[in-house]
Amino acid sequence: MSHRWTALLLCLALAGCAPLRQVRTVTLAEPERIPVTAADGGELVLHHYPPTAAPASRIPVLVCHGIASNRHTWALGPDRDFGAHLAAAGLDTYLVDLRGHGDSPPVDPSTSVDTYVRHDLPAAVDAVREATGAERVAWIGHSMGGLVLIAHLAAGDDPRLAAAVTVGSPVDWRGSDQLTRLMRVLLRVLSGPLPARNLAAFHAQWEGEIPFGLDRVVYEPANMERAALADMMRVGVSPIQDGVRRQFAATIEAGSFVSADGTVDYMEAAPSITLPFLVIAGRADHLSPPERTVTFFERLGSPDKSWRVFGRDEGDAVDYGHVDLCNGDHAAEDVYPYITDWLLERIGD
Amino acid sequence: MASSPLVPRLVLALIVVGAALSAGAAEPVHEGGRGRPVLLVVGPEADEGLYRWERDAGGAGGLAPFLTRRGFSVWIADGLDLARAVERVREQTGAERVALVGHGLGGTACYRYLAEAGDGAVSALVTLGAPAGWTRRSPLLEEVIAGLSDVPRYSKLAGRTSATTGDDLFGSAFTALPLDDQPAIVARARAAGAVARRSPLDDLTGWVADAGELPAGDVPALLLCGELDRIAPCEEAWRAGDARGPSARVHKLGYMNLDPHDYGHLDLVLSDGARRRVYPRVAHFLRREAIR
Repeated sequence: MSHRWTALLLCLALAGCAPLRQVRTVTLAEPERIPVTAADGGELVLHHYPPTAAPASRIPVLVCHGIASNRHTWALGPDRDFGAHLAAAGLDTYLVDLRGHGDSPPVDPSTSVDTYVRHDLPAAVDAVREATGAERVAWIGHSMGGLVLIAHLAAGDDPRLAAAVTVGSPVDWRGSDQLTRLMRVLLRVLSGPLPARNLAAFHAQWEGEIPFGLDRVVYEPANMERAALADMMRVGVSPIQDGVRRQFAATIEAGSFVSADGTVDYMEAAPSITLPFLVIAGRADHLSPPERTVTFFERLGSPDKSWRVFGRDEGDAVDYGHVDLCNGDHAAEDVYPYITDWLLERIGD
Repeated sequence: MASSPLVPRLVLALIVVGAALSAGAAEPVHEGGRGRPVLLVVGPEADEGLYRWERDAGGAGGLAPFLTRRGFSVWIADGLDLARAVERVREQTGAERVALVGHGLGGTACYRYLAEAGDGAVSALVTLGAPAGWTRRSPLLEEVIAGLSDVPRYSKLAGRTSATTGDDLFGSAFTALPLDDQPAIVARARAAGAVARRSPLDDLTGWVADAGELPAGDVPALLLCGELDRIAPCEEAWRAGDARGPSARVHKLGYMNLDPHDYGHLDLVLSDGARRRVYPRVAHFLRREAIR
């Protein structure tokens, strides 16, 4: 570990010396693990939640996490388990750990978002099609997990996909607020893979709260009970690979989500997309605020497209932040049923 | 927008004709100052008081006196017939171009004007919390809009900003300021007549339906939005900026720009915070960009 990180850890330790907590365990129904090998040899893992009610669709659902995280974004305890929720609605559901995240083995630091686009998404989709015999799959992606889908669709509509849901996936990076400028500097200055996991596990020792008011960048505090936050910090965080870090730095500089080499602007994919598409944002999301998705939504070619901002104006319990769209205290009341209903209207039998 | 643009246009025409018949098209009012002309545009949901609130115990006046003191020739006009107002200001000042500034539907009126009359007579554009067609109208917004056609109901909704329960959603629809500061804003809005003193509007959608068809243009534009504005959320500013092109800059007031608090809708113009964080930004932009 570099000196820079050691120093940062020391600062954090000084900022909040709290007694070590007894480690909690995240209690979850144990889903079946399905290892998948992508065409380039990369390894990922699917977690299978078969329907626990009468099957409602022949189309299975693949759920993907975002940057620096893993499947626990969507499965963080019995009251915040989207996999179990979809299964209970009769949907055959798979949560994926992209390569280098969660249960998947560590990867080469050069791995970028484009690696997930080119290899992991097709491998996961084909593995689910093979396991279920279904022709088409619905994709739900949080943050980077939605961007991966959008970049995949830049190569043209994929007949293997039936519907798409992006949750807090920022495509439009124009505007130059100070927080984003700070993020850009950090992404440029730090080098090597970011050991987000070490930091987060360390954080979990004092119940996971992020100091200096920076918590609102990642989640809405009113929507994350402390114990759940600690769980997320302990099991829900994975490293950010160097290539991913660079690609996001390039994206912020370009003002739009771009390929790793900066030559392809994935925003340009929008008009040619025809899949039924649901774009979700959180009113108080500061990583992917509604305006970072709205111009993508406006450009989307899909004849059947929907836009929903989760917040109090819509009658939701809170103004949603970034991660709590997937695992906040109220996600199971507000977000899960909305996505499920939207999906069933499109892919239900 | 999926609906035919014809219907909203007809509705707008009715509103314009109705307003002209009932009130006579009002002349733009000169607020003072001798510099470059700036026209503050009032939407149908407010009146001139929006830009003109007086000094009170905690406050120090509105955007109009602020800009007057900084050497602009400040005018206030109704957005219902902006083309005429712009012509009048040009005639009276002898200036080729006029800077347009509009809050709320006053900003939307500016978008509408640019869509219909083009950029020729405009030196710069500033909008604050201006709806641009609304990608999706939330249930809360629907209720507020419904309330706009019913002045007592709207005033009642807005009046609820003074609630001290700490959990008043309608309060946060109009302002995101800490609750302690809300009664002052409402008092100001009331005293200044900024909250719905106008005749009922039959259909507010007529005002915003075309704004999504805003053409690209070279006139420098600053589109400001409050991070927790539930009436004209920031995505409205982004959509308008997207349509205008690189000449438009959008700026969000709130957490992401390290402001002391998030801004809502009315507090973009009516709060002490606005005087510290919003007015100077507007004045700076106008001074730098309006030299054309």
